[in-house]
Amino acid sequence: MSSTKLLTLKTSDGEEFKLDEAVAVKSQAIKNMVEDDCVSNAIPLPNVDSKTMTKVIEYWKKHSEEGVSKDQLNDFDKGFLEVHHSVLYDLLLAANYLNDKELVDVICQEVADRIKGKTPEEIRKEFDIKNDFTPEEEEKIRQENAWAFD
Amino acid sequence: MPKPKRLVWRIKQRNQKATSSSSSAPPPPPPPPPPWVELPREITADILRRVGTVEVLLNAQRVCSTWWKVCHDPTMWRVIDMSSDKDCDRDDDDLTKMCQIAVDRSQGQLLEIKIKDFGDDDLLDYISQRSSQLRHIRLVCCEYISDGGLAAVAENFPLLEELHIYLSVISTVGIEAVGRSCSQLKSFTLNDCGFRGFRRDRIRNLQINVNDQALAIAANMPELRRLALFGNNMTNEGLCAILDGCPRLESLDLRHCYSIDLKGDLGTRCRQQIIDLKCPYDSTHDYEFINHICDYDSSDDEYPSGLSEAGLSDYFYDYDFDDFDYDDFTNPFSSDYLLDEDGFFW
Repeated sequence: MSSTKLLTLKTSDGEEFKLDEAVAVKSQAIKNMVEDDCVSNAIPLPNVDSKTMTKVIEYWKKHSEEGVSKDQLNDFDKGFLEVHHSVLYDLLLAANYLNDKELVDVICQEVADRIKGKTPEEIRKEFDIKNDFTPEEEEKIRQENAWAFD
Repeated sequence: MPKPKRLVWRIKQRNQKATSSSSSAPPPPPPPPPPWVELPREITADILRRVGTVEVLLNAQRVCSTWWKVCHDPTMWRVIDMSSDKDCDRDDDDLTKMCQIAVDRSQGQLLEIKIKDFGDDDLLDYISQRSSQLRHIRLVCCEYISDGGLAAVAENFPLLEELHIYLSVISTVGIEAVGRSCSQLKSFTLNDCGFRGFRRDRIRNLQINVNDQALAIAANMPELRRLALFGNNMTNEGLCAILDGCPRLESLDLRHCYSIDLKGDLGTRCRQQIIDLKCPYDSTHDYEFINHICDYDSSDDEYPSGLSEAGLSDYFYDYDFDDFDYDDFTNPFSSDYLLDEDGFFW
């Protein structure tokens, strides 16, 4: 049995999470800190709140479990990502900050899948994005895309 | 009758009590929506790249000014992916136009391009004139990109490392030109299964010998690490040439190459030399395309009475491999099978 070293992560709202080092190093940022040997105390994560960290840890733990099939992981991911876009946003920023490329990829793909097949107005509605084009810009866009509407 | 009314009244009272006790504190305002437009630019680009070229040009770039700017940034267009199945609902001219726009926006930084079900020699030339950094090309079912067309542009891709061609008529001319001009080529796919019947007249004009492609690869692509020749007609002669000519080969996909016999020394040599070897009868479970062989125009063909294995391989049937358990599969081109006049075996 390998020794399980526990790391303590402290989120922006002061909550502490204890986690196996072997799981936590899914974050390249945490891995670098471990390798540079500066993890004697809790690792501060000022850019991640506890609600988001809980979800990230849920993902890391599932993806560290032994004996989980690819299909089971896919099912887990599907359910994990079935959240409001505001949760996805926080997760994406956290995954980027923690430098977990796999998680960033998975979330980016989910966001892309929610964009595909939608008109601009539908995309705006899905993600609460404001149409900030001026009328002149709208006209320029319409002309540039004119070939598509012939 | 009065009882129910009283019940309702009581419930109302309870509600009124509840609301009156909390009426002093207004409900908290909903949290503001997250500022998707404020994401780091490279993440927005990552997301939009995954949406695919067609949907970006038609829809995503028109959402807001931030996304418009990201979609005009050359770094967004280092990868052009026009291989979605949904794209083939669109007109070929529109797809060609969109591909050209995407290439223009890359401003010479294009590294990888994937095209499926459209495109011709002119488009390939357009891409080649503007994308000297290209490392990775994938062409699926681009029936109007010809052997000569590829040969004509090969010198414009000096940094090419991966070339993947599925279901096309690329042969010796194209292979020689790519081999000569693309000295960095490490990975080559020429998966040819399924459409030979459709273009048999073109192939007959090219006078292809079954080992032509294999011999051209062996003579011109010495740096290959990975080679896939799914459904190729080559015999052991071609395979031997490849093993001799591509000494650095680590991965070789020979599935559906039914004219090869790996039972003897050549098979042993293959297994020794190649780390990741897929043999002719290996499972196609993970193959991304349906292994479909179609006979489009058998009527004008004349075949000698004693059909050789190579000759039989020119004769195609509606035969969907996915319908069969691969262990039960036997070589339809074996002379054990007799053919009726319509080309079906019994």
